[in-house]
Amino acid sequence: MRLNVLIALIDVHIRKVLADKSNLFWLFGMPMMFSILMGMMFGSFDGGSGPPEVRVYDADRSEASRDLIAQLDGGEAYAVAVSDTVGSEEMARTLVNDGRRTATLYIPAGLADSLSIGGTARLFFFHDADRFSAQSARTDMEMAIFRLEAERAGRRAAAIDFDQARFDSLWSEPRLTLESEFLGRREQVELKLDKGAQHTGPAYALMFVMMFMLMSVRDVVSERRNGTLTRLRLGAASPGLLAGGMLLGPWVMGLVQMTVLLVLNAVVMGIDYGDSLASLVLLMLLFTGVATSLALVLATFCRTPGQADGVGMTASLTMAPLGGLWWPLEVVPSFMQKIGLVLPTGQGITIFHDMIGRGYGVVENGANFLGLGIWLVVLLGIATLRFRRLID
Amino acid sequence: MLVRTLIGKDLRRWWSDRSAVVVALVLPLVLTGIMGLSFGGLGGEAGLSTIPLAVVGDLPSMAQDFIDDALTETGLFEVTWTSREYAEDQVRTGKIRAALIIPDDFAQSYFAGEAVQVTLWKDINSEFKAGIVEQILERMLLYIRAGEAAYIGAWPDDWYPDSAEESAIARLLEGDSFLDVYKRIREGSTEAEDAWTQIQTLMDHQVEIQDAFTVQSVDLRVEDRSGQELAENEAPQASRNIFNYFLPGMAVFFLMFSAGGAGGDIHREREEGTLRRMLVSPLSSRELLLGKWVFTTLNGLLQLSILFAVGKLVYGLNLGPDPFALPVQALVTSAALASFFLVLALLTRTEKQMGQISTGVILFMAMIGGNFIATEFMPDFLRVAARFTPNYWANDGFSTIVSLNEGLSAVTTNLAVLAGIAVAFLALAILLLHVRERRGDLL
Repeated sequence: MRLNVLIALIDVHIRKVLADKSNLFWLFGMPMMFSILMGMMFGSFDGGSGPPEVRVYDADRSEASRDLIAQLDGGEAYAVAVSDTVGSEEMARTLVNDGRRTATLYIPAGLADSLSIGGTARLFFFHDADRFSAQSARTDMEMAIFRLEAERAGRRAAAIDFDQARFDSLWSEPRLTLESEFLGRREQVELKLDKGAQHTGPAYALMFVMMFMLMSVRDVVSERRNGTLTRLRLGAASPGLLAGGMLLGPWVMGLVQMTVLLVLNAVVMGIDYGDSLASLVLLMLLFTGVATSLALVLATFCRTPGQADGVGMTASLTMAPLGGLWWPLEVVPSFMQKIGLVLPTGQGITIFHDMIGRGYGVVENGANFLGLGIWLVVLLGIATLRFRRLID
Repeated sequence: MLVRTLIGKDLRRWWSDRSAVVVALVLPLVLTGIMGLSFGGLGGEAGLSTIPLAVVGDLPSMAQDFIDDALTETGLFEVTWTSREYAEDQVRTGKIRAALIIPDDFAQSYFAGEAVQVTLWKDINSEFKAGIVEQILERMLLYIRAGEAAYIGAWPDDWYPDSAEESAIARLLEGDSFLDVYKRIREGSTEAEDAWTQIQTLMDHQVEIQDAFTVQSVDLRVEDRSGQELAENEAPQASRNIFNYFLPGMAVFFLMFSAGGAGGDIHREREEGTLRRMLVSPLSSRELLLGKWVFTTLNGLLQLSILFAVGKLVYGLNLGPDPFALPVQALVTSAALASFFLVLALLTRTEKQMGQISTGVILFMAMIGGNFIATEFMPDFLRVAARFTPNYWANDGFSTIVSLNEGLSAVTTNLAVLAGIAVAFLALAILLLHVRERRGDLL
């Protein structure tokens, strides 16, 4: 009988959520849109257009300037376009300042002459320092100049003839090389976190599950204010049973939401969540449980639906960036990492990263699972106590 | 007079709602604080702290010291010499981000003229820091390669000694201290003297190469978009206030929520019957709409003014060189967003529908319009799409004033586009209002 009431409460919640078709957009559409677009911004997908252009104005038009330009190999980061006109320093600067080019190089006339007499030639490089393509072009430019400086230094030092062939051969095929490799799960199939979607997919799944739960705090407050909970109480439902129903309904809905999002992420963006199904299931259970409990705790403190909206939005929008759901925690200072790792959002995304990158299972992820477990127990306890006191 | 009363009533009601104030003012400041702290603001620790780097290699202590000094001097690494097994475990578990593996026969192979490869193990979950380690090590190796290429170009015959000389040099240099080497030279065997002569030649040539490198052939002037001139290899100054980047984006993001909420008021007043009562008064529906638009615009202006003022006090926000630039940009932004969300309100049927659709539209526009991530980092097609959102022009205008420290003349395009949006969407809102009145579904 009591179980029937509980199941009925869960059923009512799920039906209520799904009856509003716009909820489907918030449950699944918006998170997927965020994952895909943010994945693009973090570099998962090719935008379909060519790389940004680095414009070169070569006023020298010599073999030396052409050699220098030839060493700007943008690859996928940028494309080099040598202007037909000689241009000017001001033109090059304006193109970047107006945001029309990521970077420009102006080579004034006299480069070759200056090099031939051993003088110092001046080049001008303008760039938008916030753009990756501009920084890549700057690095390549500095590398090209470094090669030129090395060659000139060798020529200056040479007692007789400078051996250009030996220099070229050692420059293009250096004896001392650095080979780098990632250590982790299945290195050979490139599952490291260099694909933006491997961060954004799980991160936005966590964020929108939490956000949906916290934004539904207003529903609980409304039900309390319009007497629905009191009527249920009068209908022989105990406070504990009601608290259970208010928790389990959203919990089940959260699990459904997270399952669909993770499956969509896997299908659309090819995300592989690791080798441990147990870890994945445990993470989903714990995280959705924590979000549900937190929502119920907040609902017991809010007096009006408007207040609930403010609190829900504040909680979800602060816990997401602090926990590393907007950007990976490794890019923030260590004290911010420590704060992030204490939060359920930080623990959740770290478990995902370790499952994807390192192939961790339940045991290896133990510390973060324990953290989530503590959050769940504490919040569940507070939610149940507060809720019982509120309606009893 | 009546319109003024309506505007005053709306403003008082809005600012008496504490949750609205939290979302409009507190949340953007808190999020800006989080972003600033995350990326090195408030004078705190910069985003990048010293990176622990394990080094593995069985090298003579002199060589170890040399490598240790070279890595530590960069100020970026915390170097620990360790075993291969321990380094692998630490990198695999993410306790350290990278390990440099130097082969045991590194010195012998390198000085025998053979190709030598060092390996960098990187933490699979550390795209950022491990990537930095790799870049810095590549740059350090580049200096060695450049020196070697220049040397061999200059003296092709004397770099690699033949095997007999090599062994003579090797024997002379055996041991871990300069004292041992000095004693052998003082003992004066022919082999030691020959080896020493050979070493002197090599060292003389090294000095000559080093001297040759001090003469600069090319002076590369690097200038970034802010006009800051940087020396070669120099990064832009970190002293720039990072909050100048984040606060405008957050302010515009939450301004959109306020404008959306104000637009949704039409539905709330309709559902509660207030709208019907107001239309009984001498006010026309058009005047009501204009009153709502003026209220939303003034409300937005007030919100932005408070955010920027608190931003100045708390985060040291730059308000630009021109006292008119920021207020004008804020006014035109508020007007454009007020018009935009009034149209959205008149296209929806209920307050709930308006709330859901406007939140979706706000999140989407914020994402592509540069409120979360600068549009420069987006693929080309998204950068083009961003230009069709009002918040892009608002963000770009505020950034130009606050981050680039430009005046009013630098944001004329932004102001023109935003003013155009304000006028066009307000006209569209009036048109939609008449259509709904004619259909009779406004009340």
